[in-house]
This record gives sequence, structure tokens and C-alpha cells, in this order.
Amino acid sequence: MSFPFRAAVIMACAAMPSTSRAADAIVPFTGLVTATCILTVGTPGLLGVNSDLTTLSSSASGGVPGNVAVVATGSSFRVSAIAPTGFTIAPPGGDDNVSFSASYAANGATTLGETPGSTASQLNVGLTTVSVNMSAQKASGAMPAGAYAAEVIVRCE
Amino acid sequence: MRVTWSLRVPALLAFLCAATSQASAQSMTPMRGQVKSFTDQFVVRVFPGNPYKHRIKVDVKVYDETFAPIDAKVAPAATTLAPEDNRGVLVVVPFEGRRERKVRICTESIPFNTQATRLRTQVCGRFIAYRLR
Repeated sequence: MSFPFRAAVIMACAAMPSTSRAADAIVPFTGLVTATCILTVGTPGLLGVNSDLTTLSSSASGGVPGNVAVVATGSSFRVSAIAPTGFTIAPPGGDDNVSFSASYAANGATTLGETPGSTASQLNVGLTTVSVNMSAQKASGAMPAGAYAAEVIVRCE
Repeated sequence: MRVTWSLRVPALLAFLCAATSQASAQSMTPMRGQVKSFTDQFVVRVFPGNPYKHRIKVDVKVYDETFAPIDAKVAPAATTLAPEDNRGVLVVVPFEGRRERKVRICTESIPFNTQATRLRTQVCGRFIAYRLR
């Protein structure tokens, strides 16, 4: 085959409309969400004092409950609030004859009325906002003047 | 707390055994897990995470079923986490003569210290370990 003829054949083939089709490809994606519980403290609480000065409580006038956001990605988790056994900060005599209690309520993915802190409540999957209250009650006498602080443990297990 | 070399070898063996004896990394999950060990201790790796936008310090503590503290080796026992980060923590728990042991491994946050009622968060995983012979 002479060169001019061969070149003409190649050019003719190149000029022909293409018949190739678009091809689909599947790109797989995988992911994993582990079953876990995330606790995020929104606002710490504030203790108010009752009128006869025997009880410091977040439910009393001037008190504010603490808020914790709980995200559960599994349905086997429970939340509870553990009352303190003493003040972390208190004036002399402030800890004497004081009993502590904690309670919580929840709304969001899980709705709970006021629940004793020692009761572990089942969490639904999703975001639940837990409102935590604590109270310190003196069995006899008034709370001495001074600054008080206590820690409530919010537990997810 | 540092894990000594004499502790690391059986701990590593127990860890490898646990990791290879199950199809998924179930014993490695932070909230639930089963571990099988040929040694007199077992190992769990948990990953405390920081959901906040700022640095936090967390402690990892080990308790039994009644929340009594267990003398376990935790490395590191206290750590600082960057925002939205997590870090592996190795927990080595002795069987103390038992053939099975249930433990709770808890990640505890350091609370805010500016308010009267401080909230300490505690996320606890439940793990059961079996000693194989």
C-alpha cells in the first residue's frame, strides 16, 4: 500500500463518528459508627439557699440546674446522676450533718420527668438534654456563711 | 503511669489474642467489649474523645461491677485532648485469680470550676474478660 493511500485511510477512519459509550463505575463507600455515648456539659449549676438557711439547692430561689447534652449512638446506654458525698468547698462546719441528693430530668430523644439521680434511665438513640439538680440539706442548724461548691457526676454507661 | 516491659509482653500477648479471636474489634470498642486472655491479666484499649471546641483533661479509671476502684495499670491515666480529638489509652487489668472479670472503664472529665454546682461527666464502658487455659 502506497503512503498517500495509507494516509488517506487513516484520516478517513479518524474522521468517522465515534461510537464509544459512557461507562458506569461503582465507587463503594463504607463507614462505621461505634456505639458510644458523648456527654457535653452545657451549663454548670448554681445553688440557691432556702429561706431558713438549712438547704442549698439548685431548685431553690436563685438556683439553676446544670445541663448536659447526651448523644447516644446505641440503645443500650443508661444515664444517671451521682450525688456528691461532701462539698468540695465549704466554710468550717458547712459539711456537718449534711445529706446530699441529686436528680435529673431529660428531654429530646429521651423524655424523663424528675428522676432520682441513683436511678439509671435508658437512653434512646439521639440527642438528649439532661437537666441536673442537686440539694444539700443540713439536718440541724443553719448553713454557715461562706462559699460552697459540690460536684455531681453525670454518668453514661 | 507507665507500663513496664515485664508487664508489656504478657499484656501485648493478651491484647493480640483478644484482637484476633473475634471477627470484629468488639473488645476494642469504648463502651462494650469482651476480651479473652491466656495470661493473668487482660488488656483493653479505649479511646477517650473530646467533644468540645477547646482542650480538656480527662482521667481514665477502672472500677469493678459495684464501682469499687480496681488497681489496674492505665497508660496514660490522665491525658489532655485536643478539640474534637481522641487518644488511645491502654488499660491492663489483673484477673486476681478469677476466671472471668467484669470491669467498668470510665473516662472522667475535669469539671468547670467556676460555678457552685460542678458537673463531672463520666462515660463508662462495660467489659468482660475471660481467662483461657
